[in-house]
Amino acid sequence: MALLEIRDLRVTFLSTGKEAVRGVDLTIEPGQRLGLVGESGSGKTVTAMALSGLIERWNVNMSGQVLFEGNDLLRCSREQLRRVQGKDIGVVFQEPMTSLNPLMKVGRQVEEVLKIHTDLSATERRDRALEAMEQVGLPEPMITYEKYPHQLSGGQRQRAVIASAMVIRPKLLICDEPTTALDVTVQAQILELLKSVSRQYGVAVLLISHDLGVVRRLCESVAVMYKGRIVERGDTERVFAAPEDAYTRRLIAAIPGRKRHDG
Amino acid sequence: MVVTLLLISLLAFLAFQIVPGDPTAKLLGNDYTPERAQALRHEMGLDRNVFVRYRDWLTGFVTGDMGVSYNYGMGVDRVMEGKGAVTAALSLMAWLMVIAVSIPLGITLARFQGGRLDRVCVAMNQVFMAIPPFFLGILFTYVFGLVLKLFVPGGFISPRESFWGFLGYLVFPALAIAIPKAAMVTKLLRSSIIGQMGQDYVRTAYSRGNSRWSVIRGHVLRNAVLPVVTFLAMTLADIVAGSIIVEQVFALPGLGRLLLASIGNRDYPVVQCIVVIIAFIVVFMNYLADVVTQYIDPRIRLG
Amino acid sequence: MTKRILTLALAALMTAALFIGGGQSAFAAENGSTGSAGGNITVGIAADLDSSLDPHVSSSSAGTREVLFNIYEGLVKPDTQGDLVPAIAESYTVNDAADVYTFTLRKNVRFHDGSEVKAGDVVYSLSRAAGLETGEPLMATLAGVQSVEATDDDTVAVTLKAPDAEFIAYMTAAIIPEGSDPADGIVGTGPFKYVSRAVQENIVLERFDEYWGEPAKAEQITLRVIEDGQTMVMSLRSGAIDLAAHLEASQVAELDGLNILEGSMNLVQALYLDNAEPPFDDIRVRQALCCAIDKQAVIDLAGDGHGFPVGSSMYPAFGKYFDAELTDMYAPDLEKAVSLLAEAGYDASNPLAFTITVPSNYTPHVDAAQVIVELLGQTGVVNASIQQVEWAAWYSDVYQGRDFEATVCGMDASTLTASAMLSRFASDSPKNFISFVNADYDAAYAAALATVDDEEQTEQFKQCQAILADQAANVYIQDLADFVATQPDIEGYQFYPLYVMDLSGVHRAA
Repeated sequence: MALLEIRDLRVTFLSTGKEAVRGVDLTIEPGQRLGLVGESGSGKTVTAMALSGLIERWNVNMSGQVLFEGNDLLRCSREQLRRVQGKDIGVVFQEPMTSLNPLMKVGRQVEEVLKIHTDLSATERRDRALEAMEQVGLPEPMITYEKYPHQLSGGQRQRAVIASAMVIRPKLLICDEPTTALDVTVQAQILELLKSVSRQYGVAVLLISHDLGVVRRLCESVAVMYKGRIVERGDTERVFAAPEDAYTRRLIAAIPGRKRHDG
Repeated sequence: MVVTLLLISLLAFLAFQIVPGDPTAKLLGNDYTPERAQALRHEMGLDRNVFVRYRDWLTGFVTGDMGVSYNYGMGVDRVMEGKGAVTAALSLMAWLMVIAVSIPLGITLARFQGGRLDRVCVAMNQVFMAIPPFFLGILFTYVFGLVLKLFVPGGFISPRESFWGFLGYLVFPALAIAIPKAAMVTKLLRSSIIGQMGQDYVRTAYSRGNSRWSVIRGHVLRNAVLPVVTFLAMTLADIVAGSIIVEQVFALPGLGRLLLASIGNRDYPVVQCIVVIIAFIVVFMNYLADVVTQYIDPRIRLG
Repeated sequence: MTKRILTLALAALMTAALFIGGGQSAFAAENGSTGSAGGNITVGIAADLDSSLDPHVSSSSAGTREVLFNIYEGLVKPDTQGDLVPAIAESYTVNDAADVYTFTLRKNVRFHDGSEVKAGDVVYSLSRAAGLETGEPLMATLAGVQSVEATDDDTVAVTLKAPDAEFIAYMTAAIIPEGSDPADGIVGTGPFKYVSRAVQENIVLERFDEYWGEPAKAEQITLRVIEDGQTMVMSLRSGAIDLAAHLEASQVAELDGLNILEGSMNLVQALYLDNAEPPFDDIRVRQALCCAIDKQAVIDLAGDGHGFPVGSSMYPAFGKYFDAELTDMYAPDLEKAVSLLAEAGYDASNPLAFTITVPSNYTPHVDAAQVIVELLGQTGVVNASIQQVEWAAWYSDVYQGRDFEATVCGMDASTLTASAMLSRFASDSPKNFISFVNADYDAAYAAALATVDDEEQTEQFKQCQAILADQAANVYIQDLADFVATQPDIEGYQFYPLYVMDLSGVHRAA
């Protein structure tokens, strides 16, 4: 059974009447790393939010199915949804600067998901958090644990966010433009980190990005979204080597550094 | 802080030079003649340069000598005896009421934003905020005093007679001051929480499986309370100033009433002392707000 | 963090709950006390007493004097009819020249400290008040005292510098124990003794059981300071106070179910005019205002019909001197007012414009001023405006500084003498704030003071009033109504033709 299966997902915003997602079908197998690519406004982020349950339901009209291990996340109760959120599906957001609570110690944010979903004692949670922080490469976890977000650099914060999502070993990690706000060298490190974490624990990754180059580094397969629909999908290398869709070709052409790379 | 206080006391001192009315007029009464007034002014040292008098006053104040009330002929500290306690008790009670009502209410309204309770309360809030305390005071005297007979209007009980009776009499005056302020704080806290709810870290918190309530409790509240802390501090200072009117309405022998009467009597030593006390409270609450904010927010913590 | 906030909120709620609980128990206690102690009366007063409760300090406010009336007594004291009756003195004689007054003291009059009043106490008190040793009289009324001597333990002779037939009225000056200073302790001989005071809160008096005359009915009187007029009404309605005097018609209208007594304030309310400066240095202008201002209209509109019209500087309760005929000297006559103003050079194109300065804390005066502006406006040639000022500013600028055009206020009498109302208009009086200068007046007033013949004196004082009216020195309006409200079970309040508040007869009906 696929880990996640999306069938004909449609999302319409009630406030604006805009149909952001117009019938998306996607499947992610356990441990698979899938890139979802498209320009801004293509509906990729809405898709990701819909399947992670972060869209405010009262504001949208959703149809179709999002089957996570066979359960339809669109139709389960909030309570059921919350049991999946964080525990089975972790999310890493675009803005490491703001996606951490500025008034809460980093360590506590990393271990929060354990507090919600497990019966671990405070000490056990702390140990697990320190371990996760070490794994994502945060320096001196004991000290960082006591720090506040503003005392960390951008890259460190994104590592902390990844640690906070990974500490409970979810089955799926949704990464929404995880490297966009970071500079190039840090970008590479974060992508490397995500890749190794995914491999090590067999975590499936859904990478949302506008940048095919980023997707190519991390994901073995890719789906290209355009105006709420998936226009092309397949192995990353295959899509790169022989894009079938005109839009995909434009995207590939737009990858920075590619032209220079090709000479 | 000290500079601010010095400046305020100097301004108050100078203000008396501008307002019409002469303290000797009241003291001499029917015996007033320009010559006698002049002699009395000389005796009281009022004919000296204002800055010299300010310096003398300041020296006295710093060494604990607050001067002698023109009108009561006794030390300012004796005139104020017990008055400070009334105003302090009234202000603190009103302030605690503000906190006790607005914090839970603000959180609840934000938690159920858009719900029926929220809509009703937000509308009522607008009304309550606009009611001046003196009007509430008169209303309470009618409703709770004369109709429901929950207290005896004008029946102030001195703490010397009965401490609990004293506090009991202060409940409705405090309520009259507290309600508009509580409405303001509620509104501020509610909108602050709602403002925070749109932040990225809140989305992160949701993604971990937090419910709305646990997001508010665990993450948003601490952030949302920051502007409220500053406002609450200013509110206490505001309440102290606002008690002037309410003390009048409920016939409470507090600093506010003394201040009003002393201004009328041109009893400058008393006025000066009360002004400095109120200024001190404002400045001190400002300072306290900074301290609390620093405690809550590590980003502006010193060192 | 959250826990801390919740704890704080909880603590605050509990405190509030405690407070409310305390409130209820206190409320019960309050009820209990009113129920059992029938002899305790609480009186609301609109202003705190002065710092000094020294009875010889004449600068004390009317509000202080009316309270001190219950604590201190003089050799004689006024009764409700305005007559002077013996008090500490049993009797007195005046020599034919009217310059030596000899008093025989009543036996067994005691001070509040228990000691008996002796001639030495009287000599000390009167000498102190007259400033015989310092040369600076504490009471201006006693400036004419030459010497005070005790002939024996029970007899005191007061010798005057010049004859003064009115002098006995000044012998209401308080008698205090020999060598004492009221600053150190308040000791008098009156029906009540002073117990305590708290600034701006209350003054407590207790019945003096060894009083020589009819003892006071109430055991204890608490005078509670309530400045705000509306709060005074509430306090009466709630029963927090048993009695309040000097209420206005508007306040009384809210006091259903209470006993309302109507008397008069014993003052003369007028539109006082600065006679020294234009435009009111012109008698035609002053007379025009007298014709244009209908006293009864002011009384009806500003005082709800309560008030007693006057035509000169004397109020009706002063029956001996009051001349009712002066009241109607200027009948309301708009045409006459307009023609008088035309003579003085004012017409519709060049209207008479002036400012009425009013002390803002006296509602009756502010209201009267508003009616006056309306009435004057009806002439079409007068443009008056009102400037409200704080009392302290009014007192120093208008009354003492004489810097004004017109003002509405009330002048009262501190003693039961005609000169208390008339002395201020003598041209050399320091209290002559309207700068009224009239040789006939000065002559009549001097003649009144000089004579020892009562009839002649009365005649001269009436002459003074007639001159004031004829010269239209001010636009005389009324003696304001004075309302006293009491709880239904309170009895025994009596009005005096003076500004005093006699509490000795006030009691709770059994």
